[in-house]
Amino acid sequence: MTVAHDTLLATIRAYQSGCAEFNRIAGGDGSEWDEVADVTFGPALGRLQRWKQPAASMEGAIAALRLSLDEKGVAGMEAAQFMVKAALDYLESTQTAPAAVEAPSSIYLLLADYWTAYDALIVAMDLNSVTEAGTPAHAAILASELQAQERWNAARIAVCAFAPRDLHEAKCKVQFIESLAAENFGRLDAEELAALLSSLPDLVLDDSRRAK
Amino acid sequence: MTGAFVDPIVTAINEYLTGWDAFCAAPDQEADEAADLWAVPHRVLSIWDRGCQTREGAVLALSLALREEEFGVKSLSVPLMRAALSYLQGHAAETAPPG
Repeated sequence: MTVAHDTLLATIRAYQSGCAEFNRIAGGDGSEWDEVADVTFGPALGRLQRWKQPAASMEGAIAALRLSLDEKGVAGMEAAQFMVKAALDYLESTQTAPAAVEAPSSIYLLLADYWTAYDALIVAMDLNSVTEAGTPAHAAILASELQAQERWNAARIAVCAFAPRDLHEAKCKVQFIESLAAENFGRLDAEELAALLSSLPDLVLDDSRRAK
Repeated sequence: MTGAFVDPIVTAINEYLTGWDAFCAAPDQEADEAADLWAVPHRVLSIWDRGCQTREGAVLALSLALREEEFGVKSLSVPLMRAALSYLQGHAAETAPPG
């Protein structure tokens, strides 16, 4: 069971569900495949191709290794190296501090993190729009906008994956998910959905404990 | 922690690594003979079909798999990754944080 949220695991799951969706949709002469890829597995694969962080859980490390061995995963792609590195870094990090357990976060801390990341992204986008393209300053601003985007993505997925521990936290999460969907034509993207689904098993487990 | 027990894959990997270093250091006229120093453990590792038995073995296997992946060589990286994966799957429950 995963207690701490593992962004790598969520991204791998998003990639896999995106691949399944792609295979379901794609057909015809192949001319539209790029477009279908862009809305299915493309974004998650893009993230995996640049992955530099260790896996945050044993489940994430296992999923990363499986993906890099799987011909239908990322075997043979550059991402395979990053997945092996993520698993290795996880193992090494737990070797030096075997008793370390991540402090449980709260939905309030996660939401605060989300809005901080959101504000930083808006500032970065504004800066981008008022800086002349092609200048060194603009390149630096683009890089920081990309960083802000990554942080905002991670914060968004962390809220989706959070398992609420009481009714207040659950309500906060529902409001957040509703607003995410409202901004996206009533739907969640594959990564958000995968993160949301990953939080469900913990909910059921908590309820069964309470009933005892 | 693991006492005197040495994971067999650790022995095989160390033989391969020291064999490779010895091969690289060998003078040209001895290169053919020295090649066996790395080629034999390489052959052993390329057909390795058991899981790592220790965390040290898994770390070493993944480190070597990563190096081979970076070289674009699959013959070792796949069995090494499988061996490490087997170890992780066997220890998934042990290292899960208390829920």
